[in-house]
Amino acid sequence: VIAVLLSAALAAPSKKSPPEPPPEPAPVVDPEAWRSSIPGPATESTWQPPVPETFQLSNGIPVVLIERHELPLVSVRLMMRAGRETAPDQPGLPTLTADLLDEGTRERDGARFAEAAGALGANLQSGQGGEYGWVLLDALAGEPLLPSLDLMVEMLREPSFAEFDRVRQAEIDQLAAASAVPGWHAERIASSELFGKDHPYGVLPSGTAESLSSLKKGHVKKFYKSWWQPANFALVVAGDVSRADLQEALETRLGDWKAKPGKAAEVAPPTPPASTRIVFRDHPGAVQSAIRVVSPGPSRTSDGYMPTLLAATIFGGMFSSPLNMNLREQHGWAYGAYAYLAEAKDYGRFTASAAVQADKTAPSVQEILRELEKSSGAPPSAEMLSLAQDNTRKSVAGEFETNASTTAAFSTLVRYGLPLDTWRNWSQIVTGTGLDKVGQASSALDPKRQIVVVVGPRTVQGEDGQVDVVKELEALGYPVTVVP
Amino acid sequence: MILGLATLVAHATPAPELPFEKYTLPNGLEVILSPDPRVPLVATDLWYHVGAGNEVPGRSGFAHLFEHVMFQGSRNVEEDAYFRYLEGVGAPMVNGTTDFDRTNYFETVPSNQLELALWLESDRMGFLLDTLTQERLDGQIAVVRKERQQSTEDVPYGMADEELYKLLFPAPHPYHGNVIGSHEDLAAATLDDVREFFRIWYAPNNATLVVCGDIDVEKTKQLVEKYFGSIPSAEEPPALVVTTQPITAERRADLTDEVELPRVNFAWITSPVLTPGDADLQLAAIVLAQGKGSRLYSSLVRDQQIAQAVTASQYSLTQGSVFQVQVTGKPGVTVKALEAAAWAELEKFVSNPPSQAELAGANRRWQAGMLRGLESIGGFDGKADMLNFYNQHKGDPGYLDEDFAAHDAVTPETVKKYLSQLRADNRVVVTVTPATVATGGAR
Repeated sequence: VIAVLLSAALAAPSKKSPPEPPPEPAPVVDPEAWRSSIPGPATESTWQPPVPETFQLSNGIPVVLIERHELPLVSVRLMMRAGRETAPDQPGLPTLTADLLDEGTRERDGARFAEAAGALGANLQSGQGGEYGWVLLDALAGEPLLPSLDLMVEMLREPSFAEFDRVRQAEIDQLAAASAVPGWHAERIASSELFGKDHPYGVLPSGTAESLSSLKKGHVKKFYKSWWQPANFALVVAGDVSRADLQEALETRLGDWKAKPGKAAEVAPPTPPASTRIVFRDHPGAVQSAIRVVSPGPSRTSDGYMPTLLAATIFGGMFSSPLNMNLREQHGWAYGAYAYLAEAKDYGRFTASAAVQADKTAPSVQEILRELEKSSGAPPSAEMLSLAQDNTRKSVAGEFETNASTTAAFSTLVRYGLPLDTWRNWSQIVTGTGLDKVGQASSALDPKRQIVVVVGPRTVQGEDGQVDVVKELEALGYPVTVVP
Repeated sequence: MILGLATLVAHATPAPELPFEKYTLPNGLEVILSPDPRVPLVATDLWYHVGAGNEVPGRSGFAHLFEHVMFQGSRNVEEDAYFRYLEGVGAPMVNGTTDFDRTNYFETVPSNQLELALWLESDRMGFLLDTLTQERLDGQIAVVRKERQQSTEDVPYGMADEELYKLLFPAPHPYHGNVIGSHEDLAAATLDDVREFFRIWYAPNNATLVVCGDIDVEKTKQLVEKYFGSIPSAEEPPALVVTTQPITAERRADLTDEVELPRVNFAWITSPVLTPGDADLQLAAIVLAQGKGSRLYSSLVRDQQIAQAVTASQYSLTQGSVFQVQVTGKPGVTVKALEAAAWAELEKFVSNPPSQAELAGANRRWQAGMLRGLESIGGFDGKADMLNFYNQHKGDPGYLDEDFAAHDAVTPETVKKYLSQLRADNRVVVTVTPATVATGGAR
């Protein structure tokens, strides 16, 4: 710009001598100008993620321990390594079994059991995820720890299942309550469309009202006996307890329990859809529509995991990812939109998820597919990759802030048979995954091979009159199926 | 059993050590530094002592809308860059929240990126208005209205929760309604309103900065001085004059909503935050409804099987806390039957208050909850927030040990005294009947 002005000034014929320029004002120095430069990092801490100690009980139960003595708390996570594939014809059975563990034992009924835990300040929970069941104890360290462990072992070894009828009914009623939520239906339909409704993972872990109604107490007892036994257990402990004390406490409580191997079934991974299709469920009266865009991804143990994790993170794992920037900041149709790669042993699942203003449902689906097109069509920029890498790499310290998050981080490794120094090497694993690999993985986010699930009102008042959401979805050019 | 519990009481967990240093910059900014080197992270937590409780009628949702604007960039931080910077350095936690009594902004970053966090926070404290435009404001109004849909309107029972606060605190009380505000007021917010709000409330002399985690105290002091020292203070913000009218006759709303299960809420205005009675009612709420051994769970869920879920809470606030009991019924149970059964249990609870053993268990649970909060240096209800909370309400970030003592001092007699605040003639009741039941048809 200066050059142009100068040449213009030179070209202009000088008619008369210019007037005396006014005295230059004293230059204003902005005392805050220094703030325009972004501060760089100080020296990186030499801290490294912990590598835990390990030992085995005499019946073979592996134990992973991370000692931390700053606060008088202990977190104990027991995993039961069998999933829903063990009861393919009885959806909800593994979950109901896990949920009944703390509802009464041979020693005491459910109310007394809960009172005993409450008096110790202990939190005891049990549950069943897709691939594994779990019992979680958050206890005060010191004197309350051993009686808290006693309760945990009591529910593991001596559940009475006495409250089977009540708890089963409560779960059926809970399903009824959940059916008021569009996002719950979206998850349910996404699972069923991805795996097929006859696959053990084609139904949510909670099962269905129908499947739960057909279950008898005998089924639960049999399932418990087959799967909730030491051959399937692994323990991860973090907190204020020494290895010697823990080993003795666990050995005396669990070591004499005989292990008898069970056989878990193989889980068939889902097949990618041949072409993109939209599945719609009417939810009259909802203000927002729930959208899930899903497709199969690599399993946690495969080589494709890290590149796809980074590709999904770039696309929608961060606030500043294009998915959220588009729907939230650019269009204002959603409060937030995110994408992630769900991890599992035998499969993976890519999901983009958003709740959007109902009259903008079809435009939102279109924008999500558009962003997928952009992201899969070309490798990410080096800048976006490094943003995602830094985010994935450096946020790992946050996993070790609390005992509960620490046991969660290590139980992931135990579950998938990954080396226990994975977190210590995490930074290298992430930065070692370069643009070529992530570029290849990005092409798997193909907008032409996704299942799009939409749950929201079929008709809704928009700015310019009534909107027929199904019609607008059809106009996007993909087949639309309406499901109950 | 009782003997065993008595032993437990004798060995009550002492309040953990909470080292900190508090000082005030010449411009009025309070600074609290608390070293905690367990992981290589540092949390900054900046509390502005303004919340929805400082709003005037017609401006509902303003404090929260403003919180959104704070993430939109300032003189040296371009639009949408806030999260990008922090995500790039691997910040595991970045957020802001608005409550009735305060607004907070927090980020947890790797400890070698503390300066970045201070740079970002100070730029929006000192230089927000330079870059605030109508367009940015409109964008955030749209986002917040979306948030309202997602968190209030499209959530089962969301409207009932809002109604409850309208009945508890009639207008012009600033707790009236919901922190997020009404669509009408949000849509009416102008750029001038936002500027005015910033000038009055977002000055260093109305804020407290906590830096907690893997820090060197002396170096951190220098950095805080560098980034915040030159931000000018403002006039003292106006003192809040609020009269919370006691409720003298039952207030109620019977709503119908797109839900599957009936629900009954009871609520009362109770002892304000950290005043006598607050600890008693916190423990009472635990005895009443926390866990499967609690009074309401045992009677309504397990024995009578009329309810699906129960909760009770003492939400501690400056202008009057809210003690709320919520009972969600089984399908097919009428709201009337549910309310009668729940009220009968509450009357029993008030006339037969918690025993020493029940209180000892509840206190352990409360203590364990506080300790678990302290495991996180930042984030929601982490250590930094705890220091700020006690500082705002008691002027002492280290008030935790006194709060432990207040909970240890609760006895069946003191609980009984404060439970007398929960009566039929001063209660607020909000019921929700499922729409399918109301219209008599299946969906």
